Amino acid sequence: MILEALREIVGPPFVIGVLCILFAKLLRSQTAVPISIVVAFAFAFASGNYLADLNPEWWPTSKRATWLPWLAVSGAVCGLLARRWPLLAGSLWTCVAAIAVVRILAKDYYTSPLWAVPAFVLLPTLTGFGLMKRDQQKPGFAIPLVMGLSLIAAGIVIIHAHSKSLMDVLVIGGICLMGFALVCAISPFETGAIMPGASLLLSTACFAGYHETFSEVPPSAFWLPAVAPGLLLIGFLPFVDRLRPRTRIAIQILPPLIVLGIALGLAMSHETLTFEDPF
Amino acid sequence: MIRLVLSLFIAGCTMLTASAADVYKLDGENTKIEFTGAKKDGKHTGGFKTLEGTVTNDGGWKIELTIQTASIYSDNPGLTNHLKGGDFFGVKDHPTAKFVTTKIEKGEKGMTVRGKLTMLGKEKEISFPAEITTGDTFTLKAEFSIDRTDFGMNYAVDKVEKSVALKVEVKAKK
Repeated sequence: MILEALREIVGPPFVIGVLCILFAKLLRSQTAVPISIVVAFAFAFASGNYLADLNPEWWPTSKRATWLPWLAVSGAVCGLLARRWPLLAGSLWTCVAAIAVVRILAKDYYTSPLWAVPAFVLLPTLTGFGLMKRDQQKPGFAIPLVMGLSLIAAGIVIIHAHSKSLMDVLVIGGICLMGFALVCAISPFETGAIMPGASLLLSTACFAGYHETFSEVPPSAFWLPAVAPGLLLIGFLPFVDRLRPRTRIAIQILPPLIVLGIALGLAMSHETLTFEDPF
Repeated sequence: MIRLVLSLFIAGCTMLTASAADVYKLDGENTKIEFTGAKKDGKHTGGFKTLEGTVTNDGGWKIELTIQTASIYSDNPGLTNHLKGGDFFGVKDHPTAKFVTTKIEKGEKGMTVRGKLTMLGKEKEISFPAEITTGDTFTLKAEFSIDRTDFGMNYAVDKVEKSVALKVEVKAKK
């Protein structure tokens, strides 16, 4: 089962992420890297779909998990367009967010609580575009690493709540970002364009996991991974920004890692994960 | 005039008696729906505890059944939670599954039941052979299979068989 997961879900997105970036770096073009990270993200989901049959129909169906890769890639395209054509990116993002509300957020939440829809839209918007901006200022491995770990941690929480489809989508996105982080650690480059898409994937999947699963996993375990990457934005604080790079990175990544640890602890203490897959 | 009133009264009574006599109420006690799902290295069984419906004879037999999907159970508690989730039944978004017959006719062996099954918001025409007896008690026994992917239940099609065996037993009194 573990080997199968490595072959179908974990390995391909990582290799795709690394290879796309290396290829883009070889081209030595300013636009090649941002385009390649969005292409890598799309290929990563396509590989998961092809190898693990995540959605045999490919197009989104009534199932939430089938919408997530499409929303994630569309969000990443918004990030890609944002620097040169902010108005176009903003309009596209509004459409993507509206689709996310219609297809992912359950109708019960449209009116009650009143903050549900704004929170559902604002969380990925602020986190995604905030991290994109931060990455433009200080490109490095910290942002893709934390976003990747958040996606993987959310996947682990959700598999404890018995939803393998949602976990697979999250892990594919997370592993792809880990590939970016690895290359970034050796030779820094901007990964910011991917952040709106990754952030949208994270928050929509966490909501889907919370809404449509049945388990003893507490609700806080679902939303903690969704807010964790946003804590990287403390990097905007002047006194953090002025610190030496190693100290700054440590101070930035520590709070999200603690939050992710709490989320995993909550999930693991309330549900046992068995490697015997009932179905 | 008296004759007319009397004949209308008698006709009304006859109609009421006929309609009352031909309605059987279905519930989780008198109707058992069980399924068996198979994977490469084994299988699991389960069913639904809560359902309601009617069997009526208004010139022809008709069965209407609504299943509360959240009442699903199986031989493994973890699996039951997985089945309730979005990978399979998505019971929060699709709390009911419905079956309405369109025709019940004589088949090669016993009867053939044709009808529309709605699950996960998708309607599909199905038919299956059944043994049916009527009288004071309506009984139906049927074993057949459906393809879960016809209803958009596409989870792990390479690991869990698409075909799901169903066993239905009804024993409903008037």
